[in-house]
Amino acid sequence: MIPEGEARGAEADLYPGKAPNVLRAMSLVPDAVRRMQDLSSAQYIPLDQLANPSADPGRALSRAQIELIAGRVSAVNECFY
Amino acid sequence: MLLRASGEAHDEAIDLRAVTEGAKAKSGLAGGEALTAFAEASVRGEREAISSTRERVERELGAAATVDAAGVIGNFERMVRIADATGIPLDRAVALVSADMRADLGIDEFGGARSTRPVRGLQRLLGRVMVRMMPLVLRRFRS
Repeated sequence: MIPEGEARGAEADLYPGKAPNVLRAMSLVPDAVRRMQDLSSAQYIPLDQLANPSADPGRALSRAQIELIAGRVSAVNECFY
Repeated sequence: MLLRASGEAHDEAIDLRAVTEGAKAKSGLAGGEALTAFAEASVRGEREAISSTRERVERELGAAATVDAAGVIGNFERMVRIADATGIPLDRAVALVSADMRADLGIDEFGGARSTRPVRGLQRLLGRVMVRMMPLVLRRFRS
């Protein structure tokens, strides 16, 4: 895995700020990280807004409604992460 | 944890049991029961229930919200598989601030919990302090 702070050169764009484990886990295939970020930005929350629950994601759902769905999907799948 | 933080950021009272208990617990959010029912039906692949719960979300929250909800469901169906397949531990700061909540909601009973070092002793106390500080941090984001 590429640790946070060590994404350099061609991979310098990999982590916009903090690098949660779910991103780092994919980092041996850097394009997988980039596509994951693209998908999450379109379907959930852009990564740079993730830690700021006050940010307006520009969705028809509120941030809390989005997180309720995310949490429920994770719980039904018994996903601890 | 992000659900709790979102509630605190917007001064909304949210019953977090809606995450683990679904529609049995009322989240306190507009359309919350419809959204959790749609999420459950989708994850379980219950075709008839997917249709009926999707229509309910559209009735209660509108077409745009229905599209957004489907997107979030799809996104997390992918994310949980990445997390579980790679066996990643919870990020340490998240583990600390969510320790009490995970215990209360029964999330520590999930199999994936084995990948994360338990939060005990001083770290548990530190996590509780961090939780208390969270509203102050969120207020800074708002201003």
